[in-house]
Amino acid sequence: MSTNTPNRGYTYPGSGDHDRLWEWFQELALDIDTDIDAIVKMAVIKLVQQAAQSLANGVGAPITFGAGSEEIITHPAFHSTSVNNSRVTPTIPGLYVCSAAVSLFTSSAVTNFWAAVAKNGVAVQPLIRHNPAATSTSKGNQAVATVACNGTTDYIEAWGNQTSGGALNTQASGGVNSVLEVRYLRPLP
Amino acid sequence: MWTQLTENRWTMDDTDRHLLLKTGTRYVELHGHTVHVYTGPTEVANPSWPLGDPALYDPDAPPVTVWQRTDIREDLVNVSDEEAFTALAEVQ
Repeated sequence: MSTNTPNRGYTYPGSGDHDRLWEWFQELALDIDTDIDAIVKMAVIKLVQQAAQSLANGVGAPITFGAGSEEIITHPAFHSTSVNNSRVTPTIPGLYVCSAAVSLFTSSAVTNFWAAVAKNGVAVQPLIRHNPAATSTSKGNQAVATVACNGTTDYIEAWGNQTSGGALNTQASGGVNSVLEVRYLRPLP
Repeated sequence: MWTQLTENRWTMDDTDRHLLLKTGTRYVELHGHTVHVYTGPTEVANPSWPLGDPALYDPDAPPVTVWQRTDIREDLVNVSDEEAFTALAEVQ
């Protein structure tokens, strides 16, 4: 009588299963192959913003990732550069480690600047906020969070918020860009 | 810092064209090809900072102006400032 391993459910024969043993080995090999394949091909998405984006004053907004932004995309179904291009929508359920780095254009008026990973349009903790010094340089802020995704509708974004008394562009040149990274960590608990 | 052009118009020195039109409690900002819409007070407290003085930012206080929405308006990139202000007045 066959038995299944407790964690991954691999099937192995019992002591009385003498017939067609090769079939048991084949099933076991295929199951292991599927698992190992999923591990070595884990999803990694890295989006780098290539076009400056105007951020309104005093409100969190999703960072957009249009043409040319997909620096690393192991799973193309997760992101589109044209439709809802701020979003990474994993098609594999699981826990994802996400990093949201937001870069602002030169301004001496920014008194509040935060960055966060957002799930389904809501910023998740940690929300990293600081009050930049009044110097005319570009500014960066980064938040890292682990997010559970259902593999269908849940989506991840990088959000930025700036208060400078008016709209302000993101920095998207000179090697200073906003970046969203999403990495598969493990199946849902 | 904003420069007030008329009672309800402002401009800001920026790499992209940056205009602001106030109509009643409605503030419409053109920044490059992007239009941001806010609501705010009828009277502007500080004409240099009609959307709120960033130096007075208080995370625990209600914002001076509240963002409503953002639209991409590529059609406004190449029009004159006067035409842009006219278009901003028509933003719903």
